[in-house]
Amino acid sequence: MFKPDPFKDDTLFEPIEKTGRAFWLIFGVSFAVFVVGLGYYVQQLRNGLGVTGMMQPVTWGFYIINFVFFIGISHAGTLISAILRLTQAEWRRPITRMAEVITAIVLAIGGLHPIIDLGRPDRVLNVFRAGRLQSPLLWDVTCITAYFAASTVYLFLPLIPDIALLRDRKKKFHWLYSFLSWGWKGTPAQWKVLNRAINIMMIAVIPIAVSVHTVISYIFAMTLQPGWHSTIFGPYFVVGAIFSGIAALFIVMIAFRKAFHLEGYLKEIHFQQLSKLLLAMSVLWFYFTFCEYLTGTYGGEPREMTTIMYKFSGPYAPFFWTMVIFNFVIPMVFLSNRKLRKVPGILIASIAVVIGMWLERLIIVVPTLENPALPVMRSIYIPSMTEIALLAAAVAVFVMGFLGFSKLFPLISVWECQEGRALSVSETSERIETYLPDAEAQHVRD
Amino acid sequence: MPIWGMVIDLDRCTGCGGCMAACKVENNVQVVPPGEALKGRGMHWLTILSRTEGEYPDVEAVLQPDLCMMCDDAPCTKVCPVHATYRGAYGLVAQIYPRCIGCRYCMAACPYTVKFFNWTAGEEGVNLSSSLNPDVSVRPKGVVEKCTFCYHRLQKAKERVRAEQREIAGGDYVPACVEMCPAKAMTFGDLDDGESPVSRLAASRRASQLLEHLGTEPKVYYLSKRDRNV
Amino acid sequence: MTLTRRKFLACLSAAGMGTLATGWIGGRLQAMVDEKIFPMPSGVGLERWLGTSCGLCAAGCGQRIRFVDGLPVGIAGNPLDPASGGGLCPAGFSGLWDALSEDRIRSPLARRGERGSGRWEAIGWDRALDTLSARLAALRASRTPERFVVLEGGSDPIRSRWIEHLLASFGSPNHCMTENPMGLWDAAVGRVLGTGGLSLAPDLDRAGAILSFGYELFETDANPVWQSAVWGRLRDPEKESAPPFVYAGPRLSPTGYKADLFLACRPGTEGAVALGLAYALFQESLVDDGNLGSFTSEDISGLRLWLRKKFHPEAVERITGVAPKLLFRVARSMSRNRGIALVGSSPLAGPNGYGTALAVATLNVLLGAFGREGGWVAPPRLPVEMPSRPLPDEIARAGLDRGRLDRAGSGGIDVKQAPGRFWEQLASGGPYAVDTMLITGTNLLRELPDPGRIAKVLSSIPFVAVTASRMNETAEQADLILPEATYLESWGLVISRSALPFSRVGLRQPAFGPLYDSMQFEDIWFELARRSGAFEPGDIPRNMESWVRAAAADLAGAERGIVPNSVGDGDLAAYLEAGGWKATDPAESSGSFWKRLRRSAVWTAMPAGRPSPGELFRAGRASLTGGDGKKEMEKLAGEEVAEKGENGDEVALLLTDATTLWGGRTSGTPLMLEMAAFHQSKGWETVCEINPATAESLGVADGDGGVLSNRKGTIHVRIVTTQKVPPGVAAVLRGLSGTWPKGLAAGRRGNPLELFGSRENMMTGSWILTARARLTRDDGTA
Repeated sequence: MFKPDPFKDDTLFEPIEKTGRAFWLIFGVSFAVFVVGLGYYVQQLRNGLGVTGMMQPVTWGFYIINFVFFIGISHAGTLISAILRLTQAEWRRPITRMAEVITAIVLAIGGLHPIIDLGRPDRVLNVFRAGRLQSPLLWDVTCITAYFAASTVYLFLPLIPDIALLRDRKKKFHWLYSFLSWGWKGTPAQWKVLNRAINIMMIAVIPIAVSVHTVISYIFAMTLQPGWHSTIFGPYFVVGAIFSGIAALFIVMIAFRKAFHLEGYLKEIHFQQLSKLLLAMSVLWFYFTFCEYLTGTYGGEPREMTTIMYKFSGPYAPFFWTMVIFNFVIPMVFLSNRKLRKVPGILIASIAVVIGMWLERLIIVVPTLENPALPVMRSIYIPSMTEIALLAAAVAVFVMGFLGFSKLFPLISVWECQEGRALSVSETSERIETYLPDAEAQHVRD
Repeated sequence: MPIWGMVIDLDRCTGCGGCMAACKVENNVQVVPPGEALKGRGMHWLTILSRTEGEYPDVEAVLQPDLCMMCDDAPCTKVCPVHATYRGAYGLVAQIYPRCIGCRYCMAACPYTVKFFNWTAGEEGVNLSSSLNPDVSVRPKGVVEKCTFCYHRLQKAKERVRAEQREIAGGDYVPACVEMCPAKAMTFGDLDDGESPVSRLAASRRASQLLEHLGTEPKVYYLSKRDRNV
Repeated sequence: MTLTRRKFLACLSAAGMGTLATGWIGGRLQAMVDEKIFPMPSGVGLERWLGTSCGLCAAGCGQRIRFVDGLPVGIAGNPLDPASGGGLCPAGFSGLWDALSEDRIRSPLARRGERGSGRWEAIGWDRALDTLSARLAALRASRTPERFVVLEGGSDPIRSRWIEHLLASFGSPNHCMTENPMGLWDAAVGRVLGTGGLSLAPDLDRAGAILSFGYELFETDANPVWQSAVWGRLRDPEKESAPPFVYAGPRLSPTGYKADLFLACRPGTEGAVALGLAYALFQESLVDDGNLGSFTSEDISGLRLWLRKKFHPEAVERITGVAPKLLFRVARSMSRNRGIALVGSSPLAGPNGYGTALAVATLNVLLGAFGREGGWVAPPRLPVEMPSRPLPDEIARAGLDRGRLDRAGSGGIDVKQAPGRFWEQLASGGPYAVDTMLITGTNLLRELPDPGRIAKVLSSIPFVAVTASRMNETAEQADLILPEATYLESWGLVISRSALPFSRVGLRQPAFGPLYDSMQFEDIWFELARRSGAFEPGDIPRNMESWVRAAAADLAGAERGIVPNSVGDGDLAAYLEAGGWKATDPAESSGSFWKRLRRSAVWTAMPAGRPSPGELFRAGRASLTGGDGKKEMEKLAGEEVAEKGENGDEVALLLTDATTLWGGRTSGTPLMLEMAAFHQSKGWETVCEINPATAESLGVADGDGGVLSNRKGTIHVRIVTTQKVPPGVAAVLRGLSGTWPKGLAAGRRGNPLELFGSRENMMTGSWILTARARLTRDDGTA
């Protein structure tokens, strides 16, 4: 029977129990940025959406781009936690917690963005009073709510044993941990229930997560606009989301590894394995993008071509080709070459991917809108300070959320690491034995 | 119950622009101050589009009034999350201002770009608040609006015909744009009635619609001898 | 805390209740918010309609003003108006904006401080009128009444008549207009037909074909609303065939879009095209020599030879760029279809406006368009009489004898106004100095070329009084501002000088009393006259309202003509009269007539009988080419005529007008500014159209901010590239102001007239508007 020890792995508890100056500095700066963003939002509430750079015909801009972007990053949690847990990949252990936290925070941020984008946020409850199930936005509301609920639960369940450990250490916030641990005693019955619950959630979360980004893609795909009305959008967006999610996860991993000296837990091998996944996603992303544009250009339908050429060689060419370089070329360079596939290289590739995926959202949303079918008055979308400030504020909230979490709960799942040390070698070798051919089979031919 | 439709004869239309102005005045549509307008936030429920073809001096140009097509299969109605825009009675695509949450999804979905958003509240000094049309509401900031085929005139017509104890029929009312056209290029009436002028014109050889291939089934038809749709 | 099933269920149900409660509270909050923001008006209102006539341009289209509970809330057309048929141009809808503008002048203002310093003292009407009338009395006393000049925009014929009427008795010949676009055409027609200057109307409804030389039918030439209505009738799908429409000019204007053929020619060469067509008619033997011969003593074969020498197809192609094949095609079509040729104000303001007018008039003669159905007809005389003019006394006669300042008509050409020469004379000291100038119905510092020189001239005039409803650039330079009521606050009768081939008199009656402390111009004028001491009390109407009533009594007593009670009455009356019956009711009392006129706001009479050339031609004296006219027309073949565009990086400037701005008269209203250049989907800015080839060679792109500059000035524009203008030419929209309305001055609103020098035609004294300028991209340093 495995019993986690609250007094081992002090490194993992250190961020909670000690607070350095760097923490306050970063938190303070983030808070300041957040407050500035809040100020801009209040102005927007008072003066209307005119404070943004949006206009006729580009009626969606930064807010929708950021909405899709942040919800995309949320897929980090699903992939790592759920899929890796499902496939019993042992190297997932130190990574799952961070992934799940990213999901929870980023879903909250992303989920708020459509409300920030509303012209009448005071009427958002009309969605419940007079909601219309046929609208993809309502599917969004449903799926994101479900995903948020599911991933919060999925974050909390494996957190319970860690909270119990914190409670047992009897250092700070004892009352909080006592309350949140819900009477966890670590009995075999409780472990059985917990593992079953985690397994159920792990399976449930995957389809919910896939549905989330699929319905977000449906927002675009269900219209008749060129560049949007594409059957490939569902899978394309999901792949892109997982792609950006892993990259974001890498950045968070590398940052906290450095800050909290977690080199003992986040080892070389974890980076190697995960970056293989990132590389695979990059190739997959490129494949989908290639399919999308080949189909468009081959058919040569005038309206499609206008939008595509706008991206290839028109005003959006710099963004488009930067996106291709950041999302495909740079990851290929840094991640397929063993010499470069080290932490610095991975960091560069991840940052490039995060930026590249943001650019991809930009390229999906704006060029189609800037090229209406009829010769109406057109304009070029230039984001205003409000939108930029709110993007900065969203990132600041992410940073604050993460820092806050790291102050209260361990960023690496302590009990899973200890369980791994204790049980995984034997469990895994037992499992591998079942793969190998039977002893009898060896002698048949003789 | 009549299904209202409109036919615009591009050969008769002279591009005078009176319909644009009449619509704004009738429907209390915001005049957007120059700074905003130059950013592209002008609001003209009825716009006159123009497209030029050819090279000087063999150049031809078309002027075409563009307004809400009142599509029978409207992409905008399908995507509204709060049922603020929907295909209602008389085949009109309605817009409920007090319910609209301003998500602008309908604007992104409309292929004709005929829906407009109130990016700011109307400003005094630019907009004439002292002589607004009392039949039409003034939209606050943050909601989407579009041509309604002058629905307020339909409501008044309904009251009139009710007093006359009959049902409303084509010819009982016309929108402001149709009423003022000096060239009588716009015809308005009941598309369900095969004998009405609109129906006959809509079925004529010269008739076509904008972006027909999208299958939105618009109820605004254009007549042109030389097939000069924008 | 230990989790038990009970606790879990309790939490769950608490959460559920909490959600429902929040939802319910949220719903209630929402409802509260909704109600507060949208208190929907409820209850009924009393709706009333008032008929009147628009006053924003000379056409005077019928309007109905809508009142709800006594407040004016809307404008619509008047379907009883036989000209507009219930239609309006975009400007027509901006009347209420105009009247209720924040820039309205609230009371008479006297200048304090330097001219243009913007310091004013609000004074009462008595003091204001006395100030001005004291000067007038002084001029009479010093026996120099001619030094009083009234300068007006000229868009209201009845107002012009009243100015002329009283000014003549006062003793000044100087009733001057800032522009007189069709004056050259009238003079040319008169010369060609052998009469004095004659205002004819185009019978477009029955035209067999229409050839327009820059005549913007659907924009700002003559009566665009009527012309649009005619077009709609001509293109009625029920008709078998539609008259062909050919548009000739350098730029494909929105009017040109509707043409069946665009005859592109170089700027300023429309006259040469007309003469080329004239020659083609001769060449194809389409000229009825015999018929013409009965009207003129001119040698028709000589004319043909002259045309062959100067304007044969190859020469015309060299001058204008029009291919001979096209010329012949158009000539044949015009002749076969019995077409009418019209020339617009833009070519008439070109390098050789008078020659162009003569050329088009000659073409019309050869087409047989004068005095023919579907051609140029004499508009019927209107039974609206001015009261008999009091005979000028000795002082007045002396003043009148000194002659007009602008020497109009002195070049041997019968023009009534010489708007260009006017400023030249003033600048050079003229035959005599001006003492007092009254400016009305024009914002000349924005509407006329070379505003710099005009401002300088104004500053040399001892006393300048301006009547205006809204503060503008010209009023800012005045010594005395008299607040004018807009047309919605005024009485009047609208007659059209020459645009309509039938009679129409529109009634203008106030929708509301003069706002603030304003008065309508005619009432101001009458008061001034009364106080000038030059008139007997009985000579001057009490006010415009009383005169309108009296004039209406004249209408009531007219032999023909009706006040329509419903649409179609006009046609019915014409039908009855054609059959010899009377359409009017002789037994109707004038009171009843007045009541009906006030309700319908329009009176109309169709012409009696068919037009005939004999009515127009002064037999034997028609000159076809106008004698001296040949010399003018020969200049059309000259090298200096065409404004060549390609000279380094200069572009030739063409001025364009829009019905939203009317050259500056309506451009105070945001409603119109917003859609100023709606044909290019642009507003609020001065649009400069150039050909994409020109754009490329100048390094500018569509949508860029541009700077046009020459030695006269520098202006900011918005560049639009289009194939509708030839390379080397920039078509610039006029009418926007950089200063007004106050507080809305954002955007690039250069006044292109600042780039134009003040050239005027030596013979006619009319404006010549030609200029070139450099166009560059505005990178913010200009």
